[in-house]
Amino acid sequence: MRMILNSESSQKLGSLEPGTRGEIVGFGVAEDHLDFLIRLNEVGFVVGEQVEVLGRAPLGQDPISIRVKDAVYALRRDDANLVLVQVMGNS
Amino acid sequence: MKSRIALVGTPNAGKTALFNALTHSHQRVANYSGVTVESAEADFFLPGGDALSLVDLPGAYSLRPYTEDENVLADALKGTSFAGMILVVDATQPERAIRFLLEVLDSTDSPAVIALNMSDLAEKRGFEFDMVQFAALMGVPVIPTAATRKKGLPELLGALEISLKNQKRRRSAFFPAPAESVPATRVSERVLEFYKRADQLLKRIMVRKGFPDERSRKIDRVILHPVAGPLILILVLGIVFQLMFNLAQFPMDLIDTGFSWLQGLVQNSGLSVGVKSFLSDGVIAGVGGTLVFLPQILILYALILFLEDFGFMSRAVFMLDHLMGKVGLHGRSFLPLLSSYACNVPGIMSARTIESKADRVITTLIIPLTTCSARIPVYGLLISAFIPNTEVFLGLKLQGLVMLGLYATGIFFAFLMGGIFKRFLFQGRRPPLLIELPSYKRPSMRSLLRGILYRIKLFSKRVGTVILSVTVVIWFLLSYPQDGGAVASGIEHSYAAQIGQWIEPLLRPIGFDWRIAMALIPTFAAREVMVGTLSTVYSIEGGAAVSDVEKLSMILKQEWSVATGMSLLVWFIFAPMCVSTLATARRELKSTRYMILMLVYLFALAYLGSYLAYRAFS
Ligand SMILES: Nc1nc2c(ncn2[C@@H]2O[C@H](COP(=O)(O)OP(=O)(O)O)[C@@H](O)[C@H]2O)c(=O)[nH]1
Ligand SMILES: [Mg+2]
Repeated sequence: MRMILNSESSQKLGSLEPGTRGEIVGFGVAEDHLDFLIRLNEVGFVVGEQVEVLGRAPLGQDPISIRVKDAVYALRRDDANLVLVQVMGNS
Repeated sequence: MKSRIALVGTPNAGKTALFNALTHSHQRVANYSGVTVESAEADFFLPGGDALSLVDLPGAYSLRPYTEDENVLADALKGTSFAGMILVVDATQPERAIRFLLEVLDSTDSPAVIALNMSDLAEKRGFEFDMVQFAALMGVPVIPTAATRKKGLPELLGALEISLKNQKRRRSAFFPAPAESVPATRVSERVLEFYKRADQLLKRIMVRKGFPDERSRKIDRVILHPVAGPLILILVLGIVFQLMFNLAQFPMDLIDTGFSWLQGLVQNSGLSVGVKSFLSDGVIAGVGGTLVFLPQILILYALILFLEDFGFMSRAVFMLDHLMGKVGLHGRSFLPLLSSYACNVPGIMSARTIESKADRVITTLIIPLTTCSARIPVYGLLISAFIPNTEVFLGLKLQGLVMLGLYATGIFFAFLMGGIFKRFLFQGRRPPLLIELPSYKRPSMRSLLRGILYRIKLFSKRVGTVILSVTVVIWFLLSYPQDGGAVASGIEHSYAAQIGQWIEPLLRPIGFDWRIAMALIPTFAAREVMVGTLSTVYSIEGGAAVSDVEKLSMILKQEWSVATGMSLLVWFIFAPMCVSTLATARRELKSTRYMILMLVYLFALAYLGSYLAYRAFS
């Protein structure tokens, strides 16, 4: 797996406001989470793919819902932070 | 044996819907990732007339198993148990579905056909597929289907029939050689290879002409709204429980009346006293006592199925995950816990969809603390006997409040114990959450009906086997040995009484006498039998039939102290009085140790709680 670490313009997916769109540019390091990272890859989170943060769960502002391709997934913000995104704009 | 065909696809692709449409059996369809907890199987026919058997396997996002559910699929594809597969592709999620398709077709030479399902929705969204090209590149026939509308089914079966003529599939240019297993370090590279291949493939077979579906997004704006969302969730849960109790009342009364009538028929017949007692006190009382809350179970299931099918359940998980995290649970524990209110057994089985072992174990361990419907008759009996129905305020009655309190105590301790298990058994970081929020769909009444019929079948089977045999054994233990042929004589000399007297010293500190001890034994087979056993005990002892719950509650009021009543009430919140639950937990967790832990901690809570209740009220 390519591990592109925090280049200055990329942001963590979990930190983005609802409505933000971006392109996945890399993934954080996840020693104890390799399995989960691969699962993210499998369901659609790969470098170059576009994502959009749709919203946050009402209680505790966590997890968040994210659109990738034609699917919407819920991820906890902590876990979503493994995904690094280049922000492209707001909708 | 008939050859078996597997339904293979990603979660929510419509496998269960297709299963229901192709076979004439009862299996639920639901709009929730991984709801197929046990693979269902049923017969179907090819156009040529051959009978085959179709298996609805759990869905997966890849063959690298990540959840227990996905293990089932990966294992199934490895073996030679299937003569062929129907690959179910969700046409509204082409990229993801095709990647999975490539992985499956790489891994096996088994004959296959592709059902390009949800073609109705894909068409609406402007996805256009070139079927001829698709089939040519995959080397497998491709048939567009819409399972819930029964579209494309004869064509699918026709294609399957032709494919099955060869035992092995001919690999197309897209599948050069069988895939060899890949070392762990290269797994993610392999995932990316699938992306490349799927992209190449899709470019040649599909164009997108429309815009993404906005409808689900609009519904989510309401259902997941910061303020309205939680309120809707509470409202929905409130309505679910209201309906479960209120709608069920009428059919329950009907069933009750029916069985009382049967008992009367037996009593007035010319049969001998022994046979009468066997039929009336044994068979009819036992079976009737259990069948009575079938309506409640069915109503709860129907509502859960409806909400799942609509797409609400995964939203509930999304909203509750944070809260559940506070007590050491996973958002996904929500569905297993909710189903457990009908019956703990299917609740435990649906915990399979939880990815992490820790969360699955904890959820399973605490499920027996949810108030399954088998406890309701016991609660009802004890409340009517020992709680005065005074008005507390604003028309709220004490009896109703106590019932609510019992439910609340159960779930409170479930969460408390969840937190404790998390802290002491499974330390470390919270395992990640990843769930799909599928697009909302109009619930299909047909599959709802089938789901209910399926439940009735399962339940009747249980009543006809386990419950019936237990009641018969209990009746025997209560009625024998006989002296001089008079059944009514001396219940305190019966085998059951001897067992009861033998364990009485153990239960005396919590206020149970040998009669209660005796009545508790059969509850291990089914809690609800308690009411029936107590009726039988007091019928035989008193020499007159205690035919309904009101009479029984009058007797209890005279015979027991309030402290004993309270103690027994508390006992039923906690005690692990259900062999099926324990056996299911052992099987699902593949661990005897966890089952013993469940048994021990629940008994400890029950004993302690009952002791305190007994002390407090004496
Ligand atoms: N419109 C439409 N809905 C479908 C179709 N097939 C399945 N569904 C719905 O999609 C959801 C998921 O289907 P289900 O059979 O449970 O998927 P499974 O997880 O693969 O078993 C349910 O709400 C179904 O009613 C279809 O062809 N068209
Ligand atoms: Mg299914």
